[in-house]
Amino acid sequence: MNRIKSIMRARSMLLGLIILALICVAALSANLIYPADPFDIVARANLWPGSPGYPLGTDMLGRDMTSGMLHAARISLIVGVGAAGLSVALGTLIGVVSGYFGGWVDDCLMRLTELFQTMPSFLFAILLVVILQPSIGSIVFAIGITSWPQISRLVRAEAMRVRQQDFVSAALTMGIQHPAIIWRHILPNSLAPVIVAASILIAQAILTEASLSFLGLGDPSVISWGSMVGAGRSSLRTAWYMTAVPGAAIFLAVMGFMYLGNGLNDLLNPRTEVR
Amino acid sequence: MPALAKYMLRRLAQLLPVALIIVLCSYMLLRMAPGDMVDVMAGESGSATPEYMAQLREQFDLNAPGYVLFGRYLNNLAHLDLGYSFRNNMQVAELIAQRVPATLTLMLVAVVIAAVLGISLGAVSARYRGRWLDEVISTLSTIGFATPVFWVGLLLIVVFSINLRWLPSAGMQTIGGVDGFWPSLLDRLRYMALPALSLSFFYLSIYVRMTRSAMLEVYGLDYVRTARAKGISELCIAVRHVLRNALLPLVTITGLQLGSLMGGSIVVETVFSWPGLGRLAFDAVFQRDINLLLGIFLCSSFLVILMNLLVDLLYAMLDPRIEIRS
Amino acid sequence: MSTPLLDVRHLRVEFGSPKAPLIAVNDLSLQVNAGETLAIVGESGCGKSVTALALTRLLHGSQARISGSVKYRGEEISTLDERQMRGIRGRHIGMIFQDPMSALNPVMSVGDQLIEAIQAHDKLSRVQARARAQELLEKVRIPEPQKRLDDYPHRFSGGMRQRVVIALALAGRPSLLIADEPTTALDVTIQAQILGLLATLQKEMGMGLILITHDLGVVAETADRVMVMYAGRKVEEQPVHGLFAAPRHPYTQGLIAARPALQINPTARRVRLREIPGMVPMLSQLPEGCAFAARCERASDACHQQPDAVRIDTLTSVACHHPWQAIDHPLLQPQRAHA
Repeated sequence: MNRIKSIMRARSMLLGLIILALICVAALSANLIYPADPFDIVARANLWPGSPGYPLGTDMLGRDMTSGMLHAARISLIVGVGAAGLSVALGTLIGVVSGYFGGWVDDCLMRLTELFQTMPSFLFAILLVVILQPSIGSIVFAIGITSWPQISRLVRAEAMRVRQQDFVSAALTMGIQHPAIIWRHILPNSLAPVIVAASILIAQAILTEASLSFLGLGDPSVISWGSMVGAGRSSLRTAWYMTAVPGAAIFLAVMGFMYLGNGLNDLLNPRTEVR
Repeated sequence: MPALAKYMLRRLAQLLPVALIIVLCSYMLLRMAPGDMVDVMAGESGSATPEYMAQLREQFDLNAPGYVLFGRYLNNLAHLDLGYSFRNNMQVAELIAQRVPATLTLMLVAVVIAAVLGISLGAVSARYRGRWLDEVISTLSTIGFATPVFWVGLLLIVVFSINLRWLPSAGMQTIGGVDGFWPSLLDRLRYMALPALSLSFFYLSIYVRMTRSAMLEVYGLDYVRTARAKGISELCIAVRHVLRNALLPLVTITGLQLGSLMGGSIVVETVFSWPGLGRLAFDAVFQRDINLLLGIFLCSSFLVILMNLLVDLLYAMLDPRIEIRS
Repeated sequence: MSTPLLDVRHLRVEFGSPKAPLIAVNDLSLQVNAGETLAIVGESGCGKSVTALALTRLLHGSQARISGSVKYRGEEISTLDERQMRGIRGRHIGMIFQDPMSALNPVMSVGDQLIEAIQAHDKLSRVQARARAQELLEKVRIPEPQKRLDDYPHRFSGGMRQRVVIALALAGRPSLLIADEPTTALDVTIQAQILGLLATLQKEMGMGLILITHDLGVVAETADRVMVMYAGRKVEEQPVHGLFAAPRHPYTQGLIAARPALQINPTARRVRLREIPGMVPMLSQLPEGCAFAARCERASDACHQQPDAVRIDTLTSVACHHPWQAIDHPLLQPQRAHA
């Protein structure tokens, strides 16, 4: 039973890593295989996948879908990792301060966290992108600033737990400053759950970016999977592959990060599946 | 139930600052937006001299200090004045009011589908933990979690509307309507099916996961052993003892997910041309109508807060211990 | 002698992989008669609770392997399927657990939980079952039982909750009650009340009682016979007076010596408590032979062999190569220890 479980865990992790490695290779090789602008019109429009020279076909304007897919992989990865990085930084900061200091600071920050958790954050992100003008930077900012509450709750709980431990009291009585204690004791102890959560956050950020681009709020100067689905929508009746192919790529990328997160969770927090 | 009333009042008082901060956020966004009301008006009219625009600004007192402007903004909000949408030639509040029922219906139906299906699947999964059925359900829920909402919608359209021609893919009802109560209800249900399904897909997988883990946790608790020691059947234990307790965290999750459900409904409404707030928001994005977008943001935030209150009420009714917490 | 109410032979409970099993209970035999109280004593982790749960097969969720024979009124119940076993639980064998704070479902009223237990074994209408539930609450001396039926568990204090748990166990009118540390989680004053209640109920209903505890005071007050467990095995069994007067196994002797006695005379020199050196071995690191040998002052090379249980008389047995004999017993000859 345990053997099967550990194999399953390893399989989930491995599957995630393989998917992500493939996507990274795709993103890195985009400029090598297709150095031209993916927006260039290169062939007859509406070529179905499998056409000679165009393995994934062409879209309704005659742009190469394969080139677009590879170039778009970079955008998804950049936005996903960037936004997750921003929200991990924000969430960790807020969570640590809130959990470590407690009291009214905690009250205020928890209200803020609650606010960001209850409000329709996707709408807020849309507003931010509209107002700041769509660009990779504004998208990363909008997604990052709306998705930190999960992290901050997590880090807060860890910080509160570690704060109670004797070595923290010992450090305090020795006159060590708060920032040093946070850096040396609290943060390393909350690292494991944050790493797992970050992986899931990347997955969510990729989904959100795709939704934004699908609604026409992507960076207009770069191609992304979401915007490809959005563009392909109008040809749904005649050429559904234009939406299916980039959609499947989003799905795969998200699955990759989810599997990675699950695998990491089993690896770093073995306690969770004891029962 | 005075204790319950007191509890609700306390929750309301807690939510008030949240509402205020949302208003502040939306005001700041309005300030951040390029151009002001006069720019928009000038843009709409097509020809306006700088002098005329300065005069207009003077007339609307737009050069006043920030706090005066914010005060005026609050005052307008208090009178349910969300501004004017020049693109639609209509009061923003009026535009939104037209669209709220469609969105609420969609969200409600989606949550019900997701909860009913998700809780049953999650319960089955927990009951048969580690067996193949559990594996299948868990894998499906991971897939549901990873699939973009709009993509599910588009694929459903390809399969059920384009290829099978079973269900309509756009709108809320047959144009012109259908005569008779039952036929018209059926007609609406047919239009509702695909959007509600695609919106519920993501939340379905959340419910499956949460139900599974909550039930597994409760299965390990002492009172389940007490129940077993009574000699009652496993089904009774699963439903009366385990599920009822596992539902409590699910209620909380539902409350927390309402905001993101609203976001999901924007995408779904766009895919299915569902005439709700989301579709309105999409049009507003397309026309860069910031006034309207902000109105939608404010209004949907308040809707979510209100629905959270209802969820709290539900929680308080389900959990007998709530009285001692207030 | 007539058939015992419960007759357990060679009970064995294993956890973990079959190749390297953790043996929580090993070759355990016990008998309980109607109207009799058998106390099972031992330190935490010695397999007392696992034994209790294994008897009614309530070791749910863990992959425990149970073997041996469990006869209830002469009928084998260890081979019953899960459905038949449900007919035994509550109806014939009632269980009381340690922590009353967590043993009751927080979202069901006390009355509903009682009614559920009653209707599980008796085809009664809801009204009848409710009346029975009220009687049960009365029986466990809960004041104003009619009013308290609709209350939820959080409205009850720890002692009151344990009374409710006892009422639940009595709902099916069982003839055997297994109480697993029923007073450990309670205040000392309440402990005495609950023990008194259990004793009264046992007499009233003529039940057999298996009382699991680590508290020798509880044993002395309530038990007829005592079984001492160490590392999953029975090391000694005696009637209660014999056990306290002349413990045979060095472990039992150590337990009794380590027990703080009430100082009657305040001017007397305080007697230092004798503790048993060392720790209970982990299940994964059980030594060959006697598990207590490493802590035992009487151990010899012979103790590397598992000692057989030696029957001294019909009610007394001990599993030790060097048991204390009545003649050289240190507790019986205190003057010799001083000399």
